[in-house]
Amino acid sequence: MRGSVRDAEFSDYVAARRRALHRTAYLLCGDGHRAEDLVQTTLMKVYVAWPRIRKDGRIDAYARRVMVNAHVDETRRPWRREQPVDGEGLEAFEGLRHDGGVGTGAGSLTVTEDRDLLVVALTALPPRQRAAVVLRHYWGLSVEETAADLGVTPGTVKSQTSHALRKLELALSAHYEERQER
Amino acid sequence: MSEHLDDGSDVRWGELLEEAASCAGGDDFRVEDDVRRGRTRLLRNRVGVAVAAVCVGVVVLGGGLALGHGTQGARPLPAGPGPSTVATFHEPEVTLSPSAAPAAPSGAPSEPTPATTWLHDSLMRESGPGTTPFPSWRAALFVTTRSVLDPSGTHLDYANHGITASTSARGGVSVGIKMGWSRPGQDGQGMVQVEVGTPRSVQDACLETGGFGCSRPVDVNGAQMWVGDGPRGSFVVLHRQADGDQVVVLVDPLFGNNSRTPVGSGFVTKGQVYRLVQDDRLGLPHKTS
Repeated sequence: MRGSVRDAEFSDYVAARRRALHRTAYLLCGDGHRAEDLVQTTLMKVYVAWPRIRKDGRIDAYARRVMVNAHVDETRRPWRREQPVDGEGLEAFEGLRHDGGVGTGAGSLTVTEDRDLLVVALTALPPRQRAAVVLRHYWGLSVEETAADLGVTPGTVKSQTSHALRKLELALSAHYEERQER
Repeated sequence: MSEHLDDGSDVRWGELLEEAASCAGGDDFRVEDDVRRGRTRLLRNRVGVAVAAVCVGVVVLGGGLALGHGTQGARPLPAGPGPSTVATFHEPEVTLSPSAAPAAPSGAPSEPTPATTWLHDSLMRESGPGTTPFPSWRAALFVTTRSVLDPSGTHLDYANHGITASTSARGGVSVGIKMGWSRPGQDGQGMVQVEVGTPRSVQDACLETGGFGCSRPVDVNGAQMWVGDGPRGSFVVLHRQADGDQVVVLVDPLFGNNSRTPVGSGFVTKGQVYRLVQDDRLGLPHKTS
């Protein structure tokens, strides 16, 4: 494929889809700057693979898969390792509910809006569960499509999504109950 | 929002996530920047493949020649007419002089040593919420950088107190810091990143630090440097010090996500950076860091 054709097609794709990719990245990592890094990494890989994925016609699927894998890889790097994971995530959320903020590596984040609350609750989930929720409910993918993106079985997607939503619901419900009591 | 949760339907979660994602920003981007980064990545991949192919070719050719020599020694070729193949191999002459272009430092991956193992372990152990490894080493790196690039102490800052680090599976380590550069009373912020690492490929180190390669060798009074120029007047300089530590400095008039306005003229010069990368106070963290 000639470079100019690749550039033109890739530019069209970026113009159309970058915003959605950025939002996905934000939901995955909960931080605007890291989301931008994630999008840039993803788009670099999409550009390199462009002739192949364009032929397959599954550009979004490839971009999502790259992004999720890049995010999981990021969380494995020691200087960016996220804590806590799994059940401990809700303990961080307890702090959020009682103090109005949750401790992060860079300081305390004050939650002022519902949407911030959901983002914080998301970041308390393990990366794979977070990805399953975002792909299933933000992108609106089916269980099978999500499984293909994540490279796991549909059963795993179902269980991860179920666990994740239960934790989110628990965390958010408690918050709103508390707010209604006030 | 509690009624959303009571409902529990896919649609409700979708709406909640959509709402949460709406504050993500990301509307301010330039398509051409993504295209440029993609091209750089593609070029890097192609260079990697070409280098690998050349290495394989050299190994095959070298093996064939060695085999040929061994065969000649063991059994003379039959005399008389007939097809024959003559291979001639000229050992390339390598001459290094202060005016000659320096050879790129070897890209051979580092083998783990007790020092690099300790660095790996420290990065693993000390990185986490609220903790950043090597505080005294980072502070000393900032002081050294400021003494060379900003002796007056009015431009350079290390307000982020962060660390940059990369490791390879074979024991290579590179650590550094990013510093802001501004003029008091003026908008705009530039960035200076200083990385110190174990020896590795020049192009890999330059690409990873600046996003663009080091395209040309430079001889600075006998010291070998590699220099690459990037967008907006940014540049990267790489130098391997006598003790083997590889120093990479990236200078960018725009501090990425921290500012939308690049710092104006009179920013850090290449001459200053040539001095900095040779400063023998620069080195990898040690156990006392």
